[in-house]
Amino acid sequence: MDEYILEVRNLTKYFGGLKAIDNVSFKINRGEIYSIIGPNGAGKTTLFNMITGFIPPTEGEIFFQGQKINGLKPYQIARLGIGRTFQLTTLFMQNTVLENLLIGQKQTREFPVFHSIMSVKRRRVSQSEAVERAHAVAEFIGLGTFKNTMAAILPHGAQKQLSIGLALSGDPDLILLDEPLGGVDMDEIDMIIELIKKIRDEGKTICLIEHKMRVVMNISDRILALSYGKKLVEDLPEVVASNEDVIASYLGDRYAARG
Amino acid sequence: MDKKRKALCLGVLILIILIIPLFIKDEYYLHILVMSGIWIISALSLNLILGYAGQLNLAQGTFFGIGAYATGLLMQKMGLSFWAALPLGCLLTATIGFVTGLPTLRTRGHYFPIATMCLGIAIYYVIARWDDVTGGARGLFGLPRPDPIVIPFLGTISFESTASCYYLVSFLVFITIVVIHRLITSLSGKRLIAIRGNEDLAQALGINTMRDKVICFTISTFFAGLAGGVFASYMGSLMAENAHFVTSFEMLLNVMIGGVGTIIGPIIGAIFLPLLSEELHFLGGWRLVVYGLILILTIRFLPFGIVGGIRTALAKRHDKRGV
Ligand SMILES: Nc1ncnc2c1ncn2[C@@H]1O[C@H](COP(=O)(O)OP(=O)(O)OP(=O)(O)O)[C@@H](O)[C@H]1O
Ligand SMILES: [Mg+2]
Repeated sequence: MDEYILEVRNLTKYFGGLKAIDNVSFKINRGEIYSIIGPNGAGKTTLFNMITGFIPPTEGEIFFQGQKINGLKPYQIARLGIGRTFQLTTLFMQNTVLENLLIGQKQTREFPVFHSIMSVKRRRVSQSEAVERAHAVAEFIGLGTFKNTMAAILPHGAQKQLSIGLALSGDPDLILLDEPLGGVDMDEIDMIIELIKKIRDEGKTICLIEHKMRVVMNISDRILALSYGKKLVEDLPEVVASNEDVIASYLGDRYAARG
Repeated sequence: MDKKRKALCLGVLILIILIIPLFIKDEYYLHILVMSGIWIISALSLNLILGYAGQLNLAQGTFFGIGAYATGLLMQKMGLSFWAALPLGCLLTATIGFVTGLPTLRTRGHYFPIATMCLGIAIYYVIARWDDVTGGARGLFGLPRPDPIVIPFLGTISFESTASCYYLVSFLVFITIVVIHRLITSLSGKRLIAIRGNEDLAQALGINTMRDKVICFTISTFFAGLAGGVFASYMGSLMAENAHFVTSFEMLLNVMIGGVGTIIGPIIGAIFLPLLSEELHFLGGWRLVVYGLILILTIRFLPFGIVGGIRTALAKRHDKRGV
């Protein structure tokens, strides 16, 4: 088995004349927390969208567990074992926490329509397996007491937790989190950080986009800094924090100035 | 306990449905009930794709028409028995649903309703103008009722009487409800709800949304074809109008006013709205204006139809008691 789980090779993305990602390459190691930072518009979300198949790269290749995945559809990539959240909290708002997590289960995405209508036993077995797993995920993400609450009326922090739970529900090997702390209150931040660490401790690999520098510096094993679609530096947190280009383009106003 | 009570209610309901013809001697009322059954199947078929997968299909009346004409023509031109023509008609309708679903379901947002509306209008004109096959504007006449079923030692069931057709339609309504209920309460049904909720998220969770939409659309058009096929044989004649956009619109009205995304809602809508429509017949073309108004008022004040309104009212009463 390869040491790294994801490899991005010479990736470039044009939106019309705008070069959103400019010849970026990196590798993510199995089991690490790998963070991507960069100012607004640097191309972080675009990178996620290409890895998960939502937008095609203009050039370059993406390998997951040694298999080339660019060109595959989003659902195919998800089934290979990549889960993701969206920057704007995206949930099935009209459904309960449990229903959300049930939809994300492996059994749910694959159970054939034919058996849904015709079979008795297979249907019941898969359904109870999926429900059991959904309960387990709800407990794992700390929403055990909210199982029957509609997603739309959850507090913002709990919605963020649920979105992570959704990314987790199909039991992926790699999880991409797009600003999981965005807009979250101070008292809820620690809970989500603990959740992210707990997911890592389960043996999963995490790729994290986050603006909150203190958190990123603490939690990450390695960091990739982007600016205007270009890779500035990729290294250990302390090295990235002291990189002059990074300070100039990004940390300057957000982090260094404070410290 | 709750399960037992549910089973009891269901048993009583089925019993009532079975003995109704013994008490209703007026053929006209029985006829209304047969028509209700046909509209119930239609409404449930539309509700599957609209209420669960969230795709506003504006051609469901056309698929009803395709099923009706296919079944009628297979009986009249090919000499097939109703019992062969009906399943073939349904399969043909579902095939056309599948083939037209492939390109139209690829679209997102407002394009699907527009695409299906255009499809409905195009197919309507094919039916209305293809004189040699469909009889064009004159329509199709003299379609036979279902052939009698011979049961050894017990005798034959003939479908000449309205009461026998009532039982046939009731049986088909039952089948439709069972199939659709099983589908939507299964894990596959959860996928449809996911597609309705957010297609991108569904895909990110590994759901092949295109495949599920196409399967759902195909099943949905199958049942629209079933309603159409029974309609053809029961009525004995067809007009191109049966495949018109107005039929799609009436189905939409039944579903929306009854309560979209529930099973009981479309059933309620399909029973009561045709009665209203009967009362409004004297308005002629102006009927559509009244329909439009009703639809706008429903969407504004009862977004989840009669069933949604009742649920909200019950929940409110419950809350008041709780305090
Ligand atoms: N679908 C799209 N079509 C056109 N331009 C796009 C599209 N998506 C992103 N862009 C542009 O690409 C650039 C990178 O956007 P992206 O969303 O990847 O940035 P980001 O690093 O995630 O920023 P933020 O921190 O604000 O989330 C921006 O200039 C954005 O306007
Ligand atoms: Mg972003």
